[in-house]
Amino acid sequence: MRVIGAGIGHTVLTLPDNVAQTPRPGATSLCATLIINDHHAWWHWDPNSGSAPPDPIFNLELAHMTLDGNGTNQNGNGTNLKAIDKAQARGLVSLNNVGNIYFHDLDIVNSIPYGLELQSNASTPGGGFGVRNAVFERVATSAAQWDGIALVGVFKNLTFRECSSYDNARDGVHFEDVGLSAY
Amino acid sequence: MTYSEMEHRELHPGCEAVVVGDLLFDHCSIAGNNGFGITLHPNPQCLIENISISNCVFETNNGGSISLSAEYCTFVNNIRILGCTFTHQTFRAIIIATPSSGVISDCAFEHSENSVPTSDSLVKLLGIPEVEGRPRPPGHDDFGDGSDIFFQPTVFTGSRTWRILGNHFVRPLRWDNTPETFGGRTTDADDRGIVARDLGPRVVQRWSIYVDDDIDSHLVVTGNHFDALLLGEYPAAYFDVDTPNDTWFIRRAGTIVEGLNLFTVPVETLRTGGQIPRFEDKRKK
Repeated sequence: MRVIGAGIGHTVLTLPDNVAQTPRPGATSLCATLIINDHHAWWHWDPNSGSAPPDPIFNLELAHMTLDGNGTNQNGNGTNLKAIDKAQARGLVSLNNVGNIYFHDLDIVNSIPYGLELQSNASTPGGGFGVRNAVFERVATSAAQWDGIALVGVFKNLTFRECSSYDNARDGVHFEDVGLSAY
Repeated sequence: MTYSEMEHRELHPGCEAVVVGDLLFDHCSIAGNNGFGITLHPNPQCLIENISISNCVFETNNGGSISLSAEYCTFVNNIRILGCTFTHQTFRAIIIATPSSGVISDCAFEHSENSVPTSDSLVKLLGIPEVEGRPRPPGHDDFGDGSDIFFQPTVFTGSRTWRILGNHFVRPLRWDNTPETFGGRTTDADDRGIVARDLGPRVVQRWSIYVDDDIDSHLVVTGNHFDALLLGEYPAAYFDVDTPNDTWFIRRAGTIVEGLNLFTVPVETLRTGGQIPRFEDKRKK
């Protein structure tokens, strides 16, 4: 799938004011689902808590646009979401178990709590695909409540080229729970 | 020999070898973050390898610029940090725990004159932490001692070769430290801007190179340039090396020094690039 805008500052996707990032009601599917602007996130896969790892999301290209989380007007509380399901989307761009993705020429700003979040399915026994074969070029993340870029779980073969991450309240790039023992 | 996934499986039969890595940062800019620039927190018994950070700029990241496994025991192979710039450091630039092998080359490390330098080292390679049943030596914690290079190596099978080559370390001539800078520890600063920290039985000075603990690995430090070296009687480098089979090199202006025992290198020697004498083992006195 390719989602290509007209350029940073030309194609601007902005989350509405005063909304919360919430879990998807009644989500039960274990299949990888790509949802645009659901849960007030641009990309979201809801793993739920099941017994089988989901199929990974493959072959995504997202480019040439601005994604604006609308800053503090979001009421989303990342901590609460994490308590419900660690794998819930918490980033402005959230992907779970992904491979062969190519993000380039993006400006991701004002997100709660993460700008870009990629993770493995931490709660699924047997593990998941992880985050593999991803290329980020000229992707800027800034002014996130927590980290500009957050990656959780198992990852392999990631390239960040000419990217920037600045003025985030926590880390610029944050890898967490690397190499989960469940895998 | 390189620590491999197979070795990892043999050492930890109950743990599925988790090999994560092949991670590349190239020409990236990481600046102004309140935490680390890049932080990687692995789980115990995880093998991480092939992390390359090249030609990147790190500026004013309050927690430090690069942190790899700062809190957990893991195994870190083949870390390459090349050609990066670390400016306006207010804390550590690079901290890597249990580092098996890697290279830090052609980087520039700079404290701004107006920053608040802490007691922490710019480049800090830490030994294996307590989780493996090998507690750190007394008096050592994550704060280091403010050296440019602080090396407390790991005691661990497999390759442990680290090369620190051709870097440029720049410090302000005058530090304006306060006790709070050291996390409440007793501190002192003399009139030359040299900062000491009381760690109990001894006072740890800021060194350009500080190597501590029993060494069972190879460290090659060559071609680095240290600005704002300490003056007076304080040496530029401090080595505490117990293991006779270790090999250490400091090379500058064609001079190679091999040290096997406790010795210190006078500051003037490094500044002038002259021949560095071999020092006697003070512990035998």
